[in-house]
Amino acid sequence: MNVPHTLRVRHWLLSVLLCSYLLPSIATAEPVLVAKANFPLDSVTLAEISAIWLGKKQSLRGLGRVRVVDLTPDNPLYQQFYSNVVGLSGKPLEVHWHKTMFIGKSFRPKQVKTVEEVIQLVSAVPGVLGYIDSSSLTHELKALKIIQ
Amino acid sequence: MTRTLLVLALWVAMHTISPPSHAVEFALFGDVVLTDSSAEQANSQFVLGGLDFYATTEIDDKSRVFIEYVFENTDDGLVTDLERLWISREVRDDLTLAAGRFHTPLGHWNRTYHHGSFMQDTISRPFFLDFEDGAAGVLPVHIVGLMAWGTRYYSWGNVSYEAFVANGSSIDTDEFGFTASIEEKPEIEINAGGDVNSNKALGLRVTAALEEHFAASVFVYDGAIAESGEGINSGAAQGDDLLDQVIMGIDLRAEKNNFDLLAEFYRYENDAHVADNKLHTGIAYYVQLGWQPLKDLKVLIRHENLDVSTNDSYFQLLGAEDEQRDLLALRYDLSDTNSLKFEISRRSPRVGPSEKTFSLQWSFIIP
Repeated sequence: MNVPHTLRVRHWLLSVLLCSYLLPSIATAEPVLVAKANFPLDSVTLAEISAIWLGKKQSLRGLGRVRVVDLTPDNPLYQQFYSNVVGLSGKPLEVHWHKTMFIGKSFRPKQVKTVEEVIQLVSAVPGVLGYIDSSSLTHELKALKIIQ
Repeated sequence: MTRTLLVLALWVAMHTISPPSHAVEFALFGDVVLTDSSAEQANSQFVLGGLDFYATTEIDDKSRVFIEYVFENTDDGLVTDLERLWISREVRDDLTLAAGRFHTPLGHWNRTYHHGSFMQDTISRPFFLDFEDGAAGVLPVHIVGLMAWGTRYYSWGNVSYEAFVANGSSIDTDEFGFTASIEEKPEIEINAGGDVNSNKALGLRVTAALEEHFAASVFVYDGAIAESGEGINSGAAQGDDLLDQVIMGIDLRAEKNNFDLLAEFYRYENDAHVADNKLHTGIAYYVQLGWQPLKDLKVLIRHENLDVSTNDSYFQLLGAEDEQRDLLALRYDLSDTNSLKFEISRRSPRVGPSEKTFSLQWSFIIP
């Protein structure tokens, strides 16, 4: 079959677009909990991280205030992190946050769209925790082990 | 080809433009209650609870705005009440300054649940924590002014504080004078639109918390109640203080396994400038115990008490007398977003017969 050149180019471009959408979600690695390289702890418990991400706790073992930078829910890493680490997602998570924010003292973590923005914030400010894919680790960050 | 390039441009745009970093969060709370009482002239009735709407957002990296409105159905039609409206700025990790209208940091209940009925495990609040315009309200549960709060963290837990300076409260004594009753009484005015005099109320609540399972607070409120009427009954001129008031108290919150405990104690010192011109003291407290045998089911009991002097002008103006209430309640969560609550309570006033009330509530949150 003789396909016109312009149509072949269009099919090729659309295939590239489709792959660029699908590949990241297929190839996404496990999320890694990160802090600034000089963060004093090497590991944290699952319960501690869950409590911090849900706004129930704002400090880790007397280290002062710990802040969180989150990815937006459309990021595949977000889904993995909330399912595997935080242990709450979907409507129960929404209800939890509205009950918490209604009191007026603790609010949903700052959300950014990309892992690069997480790296930028975590590496710039001491005491900020975030999660990224393991392939994005840099020397400015420390990967924290999560103990069950 | 042009269309393909357009799709490509859109894709690039979608992947480079960040979402709004300061999204507005909002939710609605609501409830419907069926209630019946043994009180004289009471009848069984369905009651629509207030529809509570709150919204909050960061307006820059350090500043936040919080708004809460309640829409209530009354005999006079729909009433809209602005419950909270504040703007805050985080100065340091342990200092946030805010201005506006707040829930007064008096005790855990008032600071935590307020109009979000779905938030609390029982249908009713402890009666003496009723709102300023409620039948049993004896506390200034809202303030308009400046508030500061913050938390310091330690290896054993944390210590947080809330401090405020606000417009003083007032009461219009012209209609009921010193013979108000629980049915006919004036409200405690918090003077959101401007104060009736220059005397301001000051307050502080300090909380020590061990992890998430235990917290204890001490709090104090130091203010005056001014006359906002003509003073026909009180003899005080408009704007004059009827009494100086100090409210001190503690609140405790503890959780262990499937049990939780809430307790609050208040001590009033009302130093009257009218009527008998004397200092009177009074106390109010409640203790609530909860047991959660199943994930969705909770059983609660609560004892509430108000013990005041019959000569105390403040309680005379509000028609409040010694009273105890005991309550048994059940909460069953149908899902994360709605729950059924049942409550039997017995009201035992100092004067008059006891009353029993049965209530069933279906409450919800729209997240």
